[in-house]
Amino acid sequence: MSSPYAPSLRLAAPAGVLIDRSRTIQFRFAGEVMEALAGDTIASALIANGRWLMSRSFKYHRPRGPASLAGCEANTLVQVGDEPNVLADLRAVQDGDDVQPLNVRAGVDHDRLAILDAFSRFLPVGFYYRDFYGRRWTWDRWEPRIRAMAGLGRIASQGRTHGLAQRFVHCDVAVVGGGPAGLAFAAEASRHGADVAVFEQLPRLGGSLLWGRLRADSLLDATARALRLGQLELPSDVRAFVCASVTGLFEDGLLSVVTKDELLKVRARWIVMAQGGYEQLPVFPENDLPGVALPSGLLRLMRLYGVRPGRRAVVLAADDAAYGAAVDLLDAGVEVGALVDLRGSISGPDDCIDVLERQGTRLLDRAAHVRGVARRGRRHLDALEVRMAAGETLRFACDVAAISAGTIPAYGLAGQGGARVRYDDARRNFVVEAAPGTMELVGTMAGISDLDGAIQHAQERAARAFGAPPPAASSVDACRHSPQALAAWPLFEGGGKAFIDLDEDLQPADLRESIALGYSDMQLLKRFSTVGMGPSQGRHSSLATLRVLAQASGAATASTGIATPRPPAGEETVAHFAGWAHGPFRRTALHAAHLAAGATMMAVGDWQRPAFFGSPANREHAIASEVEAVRTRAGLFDVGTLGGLLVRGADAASFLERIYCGRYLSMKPGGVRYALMLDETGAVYDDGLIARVEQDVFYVTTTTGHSDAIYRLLLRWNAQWSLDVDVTNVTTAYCGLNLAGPASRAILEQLCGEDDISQAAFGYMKNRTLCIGGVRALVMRVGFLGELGFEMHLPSRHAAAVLEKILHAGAAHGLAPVGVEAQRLLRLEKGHIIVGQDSDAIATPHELGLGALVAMDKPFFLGQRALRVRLAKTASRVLICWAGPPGARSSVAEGHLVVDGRDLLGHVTSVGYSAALGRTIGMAIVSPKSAEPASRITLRGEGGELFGAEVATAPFYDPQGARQKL
Amino acid sequence: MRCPLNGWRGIEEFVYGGEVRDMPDPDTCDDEAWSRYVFMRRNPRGVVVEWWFHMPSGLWFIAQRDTGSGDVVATYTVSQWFAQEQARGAGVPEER
Repeated sequence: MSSPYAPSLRLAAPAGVLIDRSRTIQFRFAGEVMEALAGDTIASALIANGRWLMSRSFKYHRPRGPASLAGCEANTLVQVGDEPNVLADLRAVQDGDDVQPLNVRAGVDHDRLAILDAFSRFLPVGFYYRDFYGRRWTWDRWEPRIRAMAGLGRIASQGRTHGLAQRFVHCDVAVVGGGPAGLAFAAEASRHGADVAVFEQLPRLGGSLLWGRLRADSLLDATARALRLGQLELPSDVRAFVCASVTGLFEDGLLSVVTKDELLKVRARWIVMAQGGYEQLPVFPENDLPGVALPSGLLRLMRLYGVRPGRRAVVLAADDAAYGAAVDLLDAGVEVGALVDLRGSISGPDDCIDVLERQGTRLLDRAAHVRGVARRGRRHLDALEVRMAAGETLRFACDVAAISAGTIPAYGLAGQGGARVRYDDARRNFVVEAAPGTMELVGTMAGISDLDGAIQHAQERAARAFGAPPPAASSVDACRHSPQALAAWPLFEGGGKAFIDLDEDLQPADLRESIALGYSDMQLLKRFSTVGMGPSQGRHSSLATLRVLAQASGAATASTGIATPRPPAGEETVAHFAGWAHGPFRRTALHAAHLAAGATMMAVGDWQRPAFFGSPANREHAIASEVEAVRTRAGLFDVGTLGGLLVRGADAASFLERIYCGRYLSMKPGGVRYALMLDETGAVYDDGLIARVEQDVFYVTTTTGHSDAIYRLLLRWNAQWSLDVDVTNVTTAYCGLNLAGPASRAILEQLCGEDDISQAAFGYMKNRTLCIGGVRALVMRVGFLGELGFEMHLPSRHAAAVLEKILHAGAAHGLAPVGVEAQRLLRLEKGHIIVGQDSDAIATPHELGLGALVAMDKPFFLGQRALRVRLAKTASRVLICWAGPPGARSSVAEGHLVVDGRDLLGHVTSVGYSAALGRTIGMAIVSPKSAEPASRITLRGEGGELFGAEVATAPFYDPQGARQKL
Repeated sequence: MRCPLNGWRGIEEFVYGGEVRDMPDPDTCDDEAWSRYVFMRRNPRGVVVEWWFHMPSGLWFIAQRDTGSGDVVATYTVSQWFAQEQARGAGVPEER
């Protein structure tokens, strides 16, 4: 190890509340074996091993170490095994972890690309916009190099492919942040009967009570902290989620919460914003050296993980909290050489000042310039140089600096949820206000930095929200009394790179240059300069950005506005959103029977349907023998997934005439007609059958996917037209069975008793109500598959019994159960389209060859007006059938292209190999010029395979349709 | 959301059906007007009158909703709404 300074030591308990000193863990960093304690994060373990330098910056490859120890900045992004972009200061280190630094070539300590730092003027602000916008060729040349330089981590292509679990959490109150204010609100709300859930990013509740040091006297020792934590202990019915970060707040109060292996979708009536705040990074040269950290970061390091950050420290303070951190550093045995108050006067808490003075810390105000100093290679902070306003320059040797320009509220999530965030000139800070009625702001989020005030305020807000009368002398407003105004700290520039945004390596000059180029609106400045767009999302840079913008554009600070906060507010992975491959599906009444018969099931819309009967290994053969059974004997299909609607009433026929394209008024009871529905743009939307069962009773089928939507659509038009019609959805009340094939009548005759079902008594496209095996069923003579066929719709609860009877009766005739795949091929041989597969969202009936079914002369039907307009124009596409050369198979699949050299003529919608024809056949939507029968077309299959085919005249099979009318 | 027939029900029981709009007379309007009816939506910010469907009971009804806040201001049965509109002499869909 090449650490430039002596290893840090572990501090004695009570420091280190999150670590277990009895369990040692071994892990590797950049190949080197290191020791950690259970409960350590990767970052705390590395610092305990004397290593602050963890990764290098994205743009200039500058050495970087952690600043917040709370996962707030990109400095700590590392690779852990296969997992890229892990925040080392949030991730608990595991035994055997293999940790690698990011943005590094040839070692984190001696990075080859560190030379970029010296050539930074060649990577100007707005680099991408300037060099690539409208100049595509430059991008082609630069892209490989930029990718090689900038890639954050490596994605393992052989890595995990499954998603993580997703879970819903419902509660009355969701508290974001388990610090003192959040806990106070949670406990009080729970006492009033509310169902409360608390979400905390750390493995333990307590927030700043675990590490904070607001004043020298408060929370000075472990006992005081424990006492406070005890007071805020949550009732047992409050659900606490730890290691859980809230990443987004969406419409209707939906919170997304990310844990290591779950995405929680939280819905709460009330959302309590108790995230606390972010310390702001003072801007001075070399403020990014490893060893330079926020006071809260150093406090976390000491208090949570028991790691002493260094030997000698300097503090840059702009509020009381930094004085507290200075005292804590002293307590941990770190010498504090100097404290520089950026406010221009020593105005910390008196007790802190006393302690610091006693310990020999020099308290300085009126600093004119501050600069970090490091040896060659800049791997760690060596000293801080302070030039006083009087001219004197002081140099303090130190290996750690605690720097803060004050704390802003963590407003991101509240802003996403509709609260207004603005800059307040009097307080020189961001203020969150006008929160929606379902949002509560407490603690730092409400502008309260005083611990007792924050707890009291939160308790009172909770009591008020949950029914208790407000206290007589309400102190709610009173405790807003002392919002400390932030210091008007200066930006120290000159003598090295001074950073505003560490993620993006941006300096004040970069922002000024962007503003000078005209990007003087906060939203534009953010996009052009990328300030605040890195993983830290401006947590530590937004205040400085705002001040630079206000100075440079001459506007009042308050009027510059803020960049719109958007999700995610924290790190989340694609795996969290992928979730499990878990889709609920619907089963027909015959599902169990299909499984018992050995069906391989497939998903069709919401439904599970048998693809074919047999094992997947035997797929081709199974489908071919099912097709053969239908063509030569008989097959039985489950069509229970079709939508079924009963349309009844005196106006039923005229209602259907207004909905569908065909004619139904003239239809006699006992008839069946094809039903084609258009949408209002004149495109084919759905198809099915309409059977007139009685004069005023129609049974209407819809496609599998549209049954619910069409039911709604019918009800809605009925509500508007007020006709004498009622519509009942019987989709799942009825199950459908289709018996097709030359032997189907002989099979059915055995089951329907005395009823005559001969062609003479029950002809093609007729319906009858028959008793099949003792069950009343509506039976339709149809021929979708090109053979004699009977489609039976009967009550679902009897479907399995009837299925069994039919299979039994059909055994002697060679009846076979048949799945979806054979059905698709059979209808393809007949040239029958499947709406939604062979049609798309814009195809007219005429483009699909269904024009003859549209009664354009009716007074009105849905889509008629638009279709009239479209028919007046020349069609640009048409659906054709095509056939390949005899015997030839190909890789052409649905969605593949019809091509002519480099021109695209259309795409394939259906394809299958017809054993009956000995050819590959299919359908395609093409331009009319390639639609002439017998003309040649070229299909481009998998991997560019070109397959020649001929435009064919449908149907391929039984062109006269004689077989279905037997 | 409050269904005018079933009272307060969970939002997952409802389906949105778009703004209540008048259909122009298909026989007399020009192509331009019909095209506007088919393709254009106002999408205003403020209180709009919308179709909503309560799935378990199969009821279409009318809701006034503030698109700015997402708050449902009031709900009506279809007959209530159109009777009210007729009384005001405005906004009755031509198709009724």
